[in-house]
Amino acid sequence: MSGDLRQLLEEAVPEPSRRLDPAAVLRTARRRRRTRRTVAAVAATVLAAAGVGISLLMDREADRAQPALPVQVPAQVPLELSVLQRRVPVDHVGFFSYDPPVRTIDEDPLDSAQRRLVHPGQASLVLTTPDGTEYYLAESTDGSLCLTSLVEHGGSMGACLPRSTLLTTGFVMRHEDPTGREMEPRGVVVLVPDGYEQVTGSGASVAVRDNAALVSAEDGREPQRLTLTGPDVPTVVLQAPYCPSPFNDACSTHVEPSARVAEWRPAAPPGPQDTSLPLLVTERDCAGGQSSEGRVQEPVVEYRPDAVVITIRVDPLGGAQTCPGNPATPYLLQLSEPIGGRALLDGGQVPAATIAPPAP
Amino acid sequence: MDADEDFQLFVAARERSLLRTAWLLTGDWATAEDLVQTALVRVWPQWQRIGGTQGLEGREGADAYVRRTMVNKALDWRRRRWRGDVPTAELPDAPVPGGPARETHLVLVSALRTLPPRQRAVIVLRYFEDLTEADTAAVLDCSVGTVKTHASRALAALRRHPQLGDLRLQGSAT
Repeated sequence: MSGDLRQLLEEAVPEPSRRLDPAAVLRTARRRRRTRRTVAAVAATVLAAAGVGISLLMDREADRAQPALPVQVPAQVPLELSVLQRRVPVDHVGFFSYDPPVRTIDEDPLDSAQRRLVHPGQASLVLTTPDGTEYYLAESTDGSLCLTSLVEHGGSMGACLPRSTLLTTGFVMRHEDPTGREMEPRGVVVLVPDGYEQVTGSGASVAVRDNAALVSAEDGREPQRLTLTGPDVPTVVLQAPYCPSPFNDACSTHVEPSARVAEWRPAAPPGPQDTSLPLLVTERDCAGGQSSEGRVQEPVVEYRPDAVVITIRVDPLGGAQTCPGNPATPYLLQLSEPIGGRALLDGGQVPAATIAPPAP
Repeated sequence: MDADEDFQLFVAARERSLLRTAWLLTGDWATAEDLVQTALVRVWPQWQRIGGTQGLEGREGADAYVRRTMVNKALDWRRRRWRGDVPTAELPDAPVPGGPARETHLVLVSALRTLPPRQRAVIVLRYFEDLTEADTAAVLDCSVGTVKTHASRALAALRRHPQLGDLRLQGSAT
């Protein structure tokens, strides 16, 4: 089959569901011109008063700040972000719309989803990139986190996602050239809860500071796989396409890590020089008593000086399944270095638990 | 006919075309309506200067001006917008039976949305708005060579799409 793109596009674009009202457009245009003239006239006065007024306003807004809603806690990890306690006044960062012309982070509500910030007008600086882009984080009363970038000389972009996505789909924002000239991403900004200390992607490991890390792009592509690790938290693997994405198109296609953490144990006592580790993997979800063969995902292995932490996930069967108990499924894990005298820990448990080898 | 009346006639005559272009650029009707209205609101103060009141020839000039404003705002919004929210006034459409052709259209639109913004804009301007490479370059404020590069990369990306690969997409030049 051959397709002329022009013809296909013409056929593919539906008819508009609503029509614009020309008179309303004209009214909006007139209102905008009046507003701009008024703003220009009073701008100098406002700027002079703003220095005193804003700090007083911030204090008052903080006093009447609404409490955050309870947060869902997946994976048994408290989704706390210490950086949220260190806030600075921020304005002119936020949602862009024609009417009103600009909605700033101190506006109430924040956006079309009627979100309100727990601390209006304040945000936490989580990251400053080498090219000068600042990333600010704020918390909304519906339990969402709002991350936005601020580029020198204007321009910002951002997104709000539920806090519970931190360890499920992840909160990974594409970092781009602040001048807008380059099309390729320069990296991704990854937001993580307390307890996570490293983010690995594109073959490099980046230390987390202030609950965020910038992982550089590789050959013009954003890292396709990110591994979040910490000493006492389960390892989480995120895979592109990430959320939030441009215009939010790809978020719904995100699939990993939908796989569930599974239990495992060595099938035989491992030797210090072994790099092949036979395991028995037992799925926790109901699977109708079926084997997990073919559904075990590539394990995540963290090599620490004193331990090897292994996290194994299994793709669930989906649908309604009975729960007669699941058989252990043999799985041969290839390690990149010998175990040596290190302990084996199950990263699927919180905190990671030592797995005793079977008796010889 | 005064300038305001002429402007309203222009909006009424061109809104369908502008909305459909905006839909391709943004991906949803709510944002598309915002985009078109924003562009029109910004163009209105310049209406007489850009020739909107000067008959058919002036209308074409105004049309190009609105289109250019719209594309630039779409690219600008890409940087400014709080992404993650796609407000909609209506519930999503129910699946429409339409056979393989309709499915191809949906896949094409979906694939188009995965392109980087400037590549997407080039495809929309070249193959939906039917602009020449020179006119596309003028709208995007770049060289013809850059337009060719964007178009080539975008078409290659669409052809690589697993569900569009067998279409042998043809982007005939004008």
